[in-house]
Amino acid sequence: MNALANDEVGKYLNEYFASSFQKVATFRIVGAQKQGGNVASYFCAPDGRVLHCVAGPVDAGTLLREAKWVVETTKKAMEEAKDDGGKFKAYFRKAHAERLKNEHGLTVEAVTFDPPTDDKDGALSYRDPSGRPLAPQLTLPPLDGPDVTIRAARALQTAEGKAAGARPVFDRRGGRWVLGNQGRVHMLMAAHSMNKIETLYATVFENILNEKISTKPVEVVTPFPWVHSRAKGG
Amino acid sequence: MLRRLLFRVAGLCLSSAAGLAVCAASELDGKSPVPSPARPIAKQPAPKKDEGGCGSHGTRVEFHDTPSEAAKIAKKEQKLVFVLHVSGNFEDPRFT
Repeated sequence: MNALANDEVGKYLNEYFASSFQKVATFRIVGAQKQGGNVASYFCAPDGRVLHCVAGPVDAGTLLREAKWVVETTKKAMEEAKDDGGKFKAYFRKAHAERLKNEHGLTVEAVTFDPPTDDKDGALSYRDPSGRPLAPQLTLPPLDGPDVTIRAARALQTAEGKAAGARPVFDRRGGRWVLGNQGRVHMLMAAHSMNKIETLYATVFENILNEKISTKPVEVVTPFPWVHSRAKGG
Repeated sequence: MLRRLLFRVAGLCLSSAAGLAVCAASELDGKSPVPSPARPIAKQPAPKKDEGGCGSHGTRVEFHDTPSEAAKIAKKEQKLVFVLHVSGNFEDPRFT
């Protein structure tokens, strides 16, 4: 986490945010190799609703830029919404859809209305062994494909191929495009920002970062320990 | 029979007295009877604690103990909340 050791990042986060961390996943150490392991940074409202997320490790400049975007967009949304929660949510989701278009060259229709959710306390809801309901896997909004009004959309898509976690994504007509982790975060946030962090983290960690959520300790696996000791012994 | 038993009891008493004398001698010559550890235990620097914080864990960011505590402070101080979800041990840079 070199970004968090940066003076400017620390100063900005301490000024505008109250920070905390949670362990949500683990990884394996096989021999000397680390398998899995990741980080997701959430920017939330004080009631735990997620405004934005950064998936995976990033440099100090990127984290600072994203933190500043959250603060500035929150100020604008508060001015625009004037104590109307529905308008605030719609503003944020549209802002994410706008960033997906401008920075990743793909368009989605921001979902500004949440359908009623299932009854989580019902007898038919799935639960883990401790009795808690399972973290849901949210559906991403359908992609409309590239933004044809922007000439640079194709160039953005070419650049997206080099982004962290870049992999294929399909639009609603079956067109094949490329989207990295951060593009996928904007796609998710265009439909689900301002939802509680407990409903979002599973999708971010499992669907975007491809990590399995777990609270198990780190597993150290050394499949052939005698190879190392024999080499040492000569 | 009684004489043999008395000899055995006397022998036992003498051997335990000799053991105590050896222990006392080791204390007198300044050496500790308890073996010292191979390496001295390094004192870990305590995490920096600001008002309401639980430390920075080697970063420039002050972290609170739990997200709910951070949320309470954010509400009180009119701030937003920053939550990190990590795999492994946050304190150890190898694990994050």
